[in-house]
Amino acid sequence: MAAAARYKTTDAVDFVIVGSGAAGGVLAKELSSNGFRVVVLEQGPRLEPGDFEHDEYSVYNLNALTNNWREQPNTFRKSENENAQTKPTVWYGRLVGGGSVHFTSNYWRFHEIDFLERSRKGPVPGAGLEDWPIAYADLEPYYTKAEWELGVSGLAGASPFDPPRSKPYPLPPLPIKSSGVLMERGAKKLGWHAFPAPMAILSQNYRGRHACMHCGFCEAFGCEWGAKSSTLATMIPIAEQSGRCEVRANSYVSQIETNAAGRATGVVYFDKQKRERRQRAKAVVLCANGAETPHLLLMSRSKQFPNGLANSSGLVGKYLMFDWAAAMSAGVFEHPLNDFKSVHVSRVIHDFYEIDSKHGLFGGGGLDGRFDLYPVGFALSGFAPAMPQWGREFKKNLRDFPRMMYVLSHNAALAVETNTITLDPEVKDAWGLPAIRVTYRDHPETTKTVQFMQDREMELLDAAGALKTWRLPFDNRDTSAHLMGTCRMGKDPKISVINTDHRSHDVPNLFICDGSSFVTSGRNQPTATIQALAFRAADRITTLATKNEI
Amino acid sequence: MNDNSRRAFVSGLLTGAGAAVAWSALPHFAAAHEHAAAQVKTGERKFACFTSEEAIQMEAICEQIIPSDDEPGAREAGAIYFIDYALSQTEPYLQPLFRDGLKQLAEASAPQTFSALKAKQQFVVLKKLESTEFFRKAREYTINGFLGDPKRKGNRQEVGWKYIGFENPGMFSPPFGYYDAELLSGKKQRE
Repeated sequence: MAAAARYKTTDAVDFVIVGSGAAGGVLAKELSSNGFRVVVLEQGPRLEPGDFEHDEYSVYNLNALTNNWREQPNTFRKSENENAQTKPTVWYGRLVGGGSVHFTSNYWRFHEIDFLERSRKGPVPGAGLEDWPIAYADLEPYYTKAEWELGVSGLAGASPFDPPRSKPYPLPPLPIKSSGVLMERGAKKLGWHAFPAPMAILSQNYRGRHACMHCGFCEAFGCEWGAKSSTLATMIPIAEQSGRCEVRANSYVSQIETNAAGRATGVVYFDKQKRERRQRAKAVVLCANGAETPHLLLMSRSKQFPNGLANSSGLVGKYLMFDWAAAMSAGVFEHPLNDFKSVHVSRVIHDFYEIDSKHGLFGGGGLDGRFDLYPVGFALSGFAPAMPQWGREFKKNLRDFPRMMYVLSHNAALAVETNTITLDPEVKDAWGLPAIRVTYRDHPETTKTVQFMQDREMELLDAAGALKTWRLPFDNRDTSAHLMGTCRMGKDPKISVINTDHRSHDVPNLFICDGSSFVTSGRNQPTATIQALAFRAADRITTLATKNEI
Repeated sequence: MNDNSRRAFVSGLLTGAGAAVAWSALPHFAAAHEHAAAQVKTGERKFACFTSEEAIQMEAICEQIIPSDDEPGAREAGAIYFIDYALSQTEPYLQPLFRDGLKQLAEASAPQTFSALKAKQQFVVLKKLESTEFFRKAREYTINGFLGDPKRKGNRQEVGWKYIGFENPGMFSPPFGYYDAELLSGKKQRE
């Protein structure tokens, strides 16, 4: 086994990758395994499984694994006419492994419709709905590759709505939970189809990694067993063992530099001591997530690129899509579910993945049965606003904890051109860089779809035999963790930022691959698609580099 | 349960009962409150951020948010110790918010102190402050002190977790709950 590489900042390595998350981790492993010299720059620290604890205060209040808004403030407004106010808005994994460390591990492939919804169902007035320039069939081999390389548990063919696949899952589904049994019960009554949730969590030991021990702390937490298939547990170690990859933690990139020929020469970043450094590279691969990627491109403006790098289309930062297109409903049952145990989701329903056109709605979504609220979070936000939020009745209701489940719908969010990431003109972060300013309001058609899906959640809970149900509001969200669409892929440089090789239209040796590449949001479970894109991008980039075409 | 903790628990029950029967304050309520205040004075309680008086007022808020009744509440969980820990150790920038909030509370309770009010009156005062940032944080931090990881000084002896039926041993094995156990036993019978 080779030791992890160490490069000088003056070495022009083959690739500098910005971000080590769902996409960056995959690209680091693939490109270094393919013989290239790679430096990965990660904003956050390097943590190990032993550092991960079951402490809600640490992950939610102290931001142990995520961006800390006290150091990196966001500003938010609903439309361009408003003054943006400082408010936590984008939430992302900020450590080696990025969001793949703290995600819930739902691992849904996109379906065929997600790539060509515009031509099948569109256009939608006021929405920037476009087809992807690639189809599901182009990505299928890479979904399969991601599932096998990372370790995903599931049951092929269990959902009648699944798109075609070339290979089954490498691991059987995780054990069914009480919420899953109730999902099945409700679905059966309604004529719907509940199927085992595809999860990027190991149901059995796999490639030297430990199976899930069902501790119950997945969403927002890191896995102390390494059973969650984060890039930290899977791709990063392989990249380092290649002897050609250096992962440099605590490195916050502030600018991509270019030369007179308009080519990228490397990046400027702050190290842990906030000293400015420069890493030279022959090519830059940007995998910083759907908010930080456009943030960095816009910060990289120069005389040559006055509107920001890779932005001749003016679309960098536009068509932002969030996971606010989701709704949740609660049900209390007669007997204890104890759903705080094990992974959060064991059954999913895709009967409304494409809502029947008779409803006059666009898009669709999926339903999952889950309990992803931990004790504190449950007490803080598990009850409807009209229910008591403190006092005697509140305390009494807390005792419903073991007898509860939630149904969550994940739905298509329409891209809208005025939903954007821009640089805040006034607010700066602790490094003196302009804060991320978010302008966001869901398209009215998205809101209608979410409402429809929440009605289905309530229907399902009733059919499953819930004694008491309530809806949680979805119209006043705080943060979003699914950050998509801000550097969309397309063939025409006038209406997209990257081409189908993930190469930016404007800068030939700048590649971009993460949630920002998305043209549509799918049904708002982005990680499998981010990683399939990353495996595909690695193939494309390797081919181009081998032919000396970068 | 040793003598000290039993005493603390029983004293908690009494004040808790006062809070629980909010609309008809028990005659013993004032006595119980005095007992709690005496505990503070005798130095049994030590705080890094709060003064003794602030701690009494803050804890009275905690008790309204998660009252003690026949089951432990925020007081028995030591929620106040979590809040004191957070304000002194991990999030000192929150101190002004809590200090100013306690001043608001004192003004809203005048001429009495908040802790000396009957439970029903305390409820009315807090209702008025319900939409303030201070109350929002007080609620959030009381809940953390009742249900958070005990290593953060609250949720003593995991009383909050026991109350809601949560366990945190670090691993489980199926079946996890009633309905999946029922499904599994049905499958076994069929086999």
